[in-house]
Amino acid sequence: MTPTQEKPKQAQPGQTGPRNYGQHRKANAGNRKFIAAGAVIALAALAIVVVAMQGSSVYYLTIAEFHGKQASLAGDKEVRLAGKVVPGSIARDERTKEVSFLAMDKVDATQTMKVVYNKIVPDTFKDEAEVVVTGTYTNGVFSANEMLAKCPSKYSSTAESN
Amino acid sequence: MNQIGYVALLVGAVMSAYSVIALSVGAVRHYPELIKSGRTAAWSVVGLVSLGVICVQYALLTSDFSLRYVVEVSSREMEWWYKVGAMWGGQEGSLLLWSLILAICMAFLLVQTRKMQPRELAPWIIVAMSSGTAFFLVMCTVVVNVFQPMAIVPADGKGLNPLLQNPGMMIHPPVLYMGYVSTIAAFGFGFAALASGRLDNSWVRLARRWILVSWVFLTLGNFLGGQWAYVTLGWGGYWAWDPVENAAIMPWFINTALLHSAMIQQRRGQFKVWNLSLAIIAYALSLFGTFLTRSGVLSSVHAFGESTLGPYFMVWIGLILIIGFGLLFMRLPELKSDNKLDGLISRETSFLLNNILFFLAVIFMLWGTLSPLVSQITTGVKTEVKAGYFVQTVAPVLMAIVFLMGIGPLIAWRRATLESLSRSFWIPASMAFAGSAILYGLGMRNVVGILGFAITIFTATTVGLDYFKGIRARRRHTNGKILPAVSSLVKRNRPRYGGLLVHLGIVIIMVVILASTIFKVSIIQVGDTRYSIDETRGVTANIGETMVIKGFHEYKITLDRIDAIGTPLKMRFQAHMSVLKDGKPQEPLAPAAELYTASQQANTVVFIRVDPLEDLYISMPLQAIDTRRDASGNPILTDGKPVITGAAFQLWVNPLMMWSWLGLLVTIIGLLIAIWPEPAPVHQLAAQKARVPGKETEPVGV
Repeated sequence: MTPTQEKPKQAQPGQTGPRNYGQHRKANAGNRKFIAAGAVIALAALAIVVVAMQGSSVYYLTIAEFHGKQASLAGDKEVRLAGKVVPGSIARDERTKEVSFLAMDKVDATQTMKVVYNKIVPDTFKDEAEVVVTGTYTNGVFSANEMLAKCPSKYSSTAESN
Repeated sequence: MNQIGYVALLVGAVMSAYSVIALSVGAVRHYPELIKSGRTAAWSVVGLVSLGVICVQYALLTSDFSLRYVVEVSSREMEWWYKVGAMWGGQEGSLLLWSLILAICMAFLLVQTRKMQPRELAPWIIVAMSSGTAFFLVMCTVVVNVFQPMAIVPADGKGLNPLLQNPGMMIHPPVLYMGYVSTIAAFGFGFAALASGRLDNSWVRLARRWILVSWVFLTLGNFLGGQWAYVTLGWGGYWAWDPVENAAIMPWFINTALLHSAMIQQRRGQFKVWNLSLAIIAYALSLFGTFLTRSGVLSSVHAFGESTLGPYFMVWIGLILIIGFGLLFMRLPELKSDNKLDGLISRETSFLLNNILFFLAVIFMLWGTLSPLVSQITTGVKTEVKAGYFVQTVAPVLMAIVFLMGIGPLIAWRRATLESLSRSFWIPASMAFAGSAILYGLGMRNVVGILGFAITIFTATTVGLDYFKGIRARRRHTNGKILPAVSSLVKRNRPRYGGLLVHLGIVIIMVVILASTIFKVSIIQVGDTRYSIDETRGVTANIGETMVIKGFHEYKITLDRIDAIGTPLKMRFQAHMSVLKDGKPQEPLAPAAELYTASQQANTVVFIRVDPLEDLYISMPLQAIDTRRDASGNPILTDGKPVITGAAFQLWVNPLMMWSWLGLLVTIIGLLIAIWPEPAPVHQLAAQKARVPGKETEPVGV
């Protein structure tokens, strides 16, 4: 979890040079200043990453993986789920305007999840689109508040080639 | 024609490989004949790739659906320019575009290296380029094939994704690819220095123009990408920290760092190892960006479908890194700095800090972008970071960079004192303070925002002061005339005054980013209810209802009607909305939503009313158009058409957006000033001829 490990090293490019003996002490004192400055920067960077990671990292799971771990993930914890829209499952509540659909695992189509999305879907959202939704799971329904949708892969087309 | 194209690309790949071998052997063993033949082979690659591209374009323009690629990305009724652009609308063709741009860069480099001094660098630069064409040509002919035939020729193609049928498609990908590809040129010079052992500053001097070319195109590419997203996607923003967007900005960061540290090497002979590293990393990151869009390893809206290309790219990036850093490691003893860093406060350290900051930004972004992969390997569970991570990590670094932009150019070389600094900075600092006091007085309470604007004011003032002092001094020589004073000032040190203008342009863009992030208005009132767009499914308005949004101006928007217009190609829902701006009627707003019949693809047509102070941004998603329905929920048709009763809208007020174009313009003008070739006076030409190799004496102003 420490992305900044390599940094201190990188922060001191090309500053060593041939030194002659008499300058040694002075050079050392100069170097110490640079090392101290580098250390401060490295620590600050590390702190920034750690703080930022805490607030924004979420599990990313396929639907099959999610069902495997369901017990530990239900409740308030935010998760990201990847799947595919089951054709014909997109429904829209005329009153609340909520969009709901069934998402299936990309590999195992028997593993599905009911997803309710409370915002405007992107244009790329349609039957068979690959979706990544962020939200929480309660009572058998996944309530998403972020959605990423990608058009069905161009290579799944029926057009055969040799 | 298709056969010709396919063979041309295959032969191109073979010739590239030959050129790599011939030039390398020729350079190591000093066989001028072999080098000559390698260069001829490289020229043939330029021709062969062009021929391949002409064949693909011919197939696209004549709607030759015997090619699978043409079926996938094109269709008969598409406009001819989108047929041209369809070449980079899919996986295979975009690799061909890479190859084409690479070949074009190689042609320029072949000309540049014809009589280039020092001689020993020349063959290795072409080696770097033709190894690139070899890789990309193999990718788009052998691994995936742009000329793959169809068994049964269909009557029509599927057409380019409607989201891509936009003027942005014609400009953004080629420009961004040009930015990516030209990083190979800079890498090529660095690689040449390492391979040939000519490790003096000549590679940096020769690569400078390419680093700048790369910088211009990466800047334009990212800017236009954001602009395209803003005007088409309908979510009101321009940057979403998507992995592919991050991959496009990372080479820009590294390239900007290289641009600056290269100046130090030219002027003071320092940062040699660092510059070579940056050149290698910039190329690797450009490849990485191309890889990310193709591998399917990360989820991104911009990605192509999953494909088999991923592993090849990983191996190629690995090879570039191993060869690059391997050579660098071997040459380490020969890469001693000519000078040492003197004082903690000096121009050199400000450049060092600039580099550290850009590098940090890239580390932060790489970490965030790659964290799913890292966490999967280390813990077995994939973890992603949300957009907030990038804002929290990169934004402070960017603000620090803008601050440094203000300080850097005024600090003396080698060693500066705190007293001299405070003398230079009390005016900008007090301007920044006054500016933030005014913002506070106007009711702004956002601490980050105030700090951000204070920094931009500080930096803009230092640039202004620098020009002001220079012009004042020059006026004494131009009898008080201002314009001649400006021109003579700029002419005396183009890199410096051009560079300062670039800084000013970037500051302007930063102001727009800050303003449009902090002051974006998303609160809409309908009747007595207030909604926040960012937390809802858009705001529903029925025909005749009025929405109110209040930025600097107040807009009262009434939904007059929504027409459904059906054509064989698509169904278009066109909204007509009258608007009162501060009570005065304006031209009506016209957002629309489309549904393409064949692909069932939705397309939001965003409407933006541009104003110097703020953009009024409105989109009407297809999903939320209300039609009259019967009890069981089926639409009631009148004259065969659905009756539209209302729709949900997303609207925002985005302050100052228009000024980003000014920022871009200033940046580009500054850059042109900085790189415009000097008409070399006769005595200088003579001096150039007489120059002892290895002694760089030409002054480089910063």
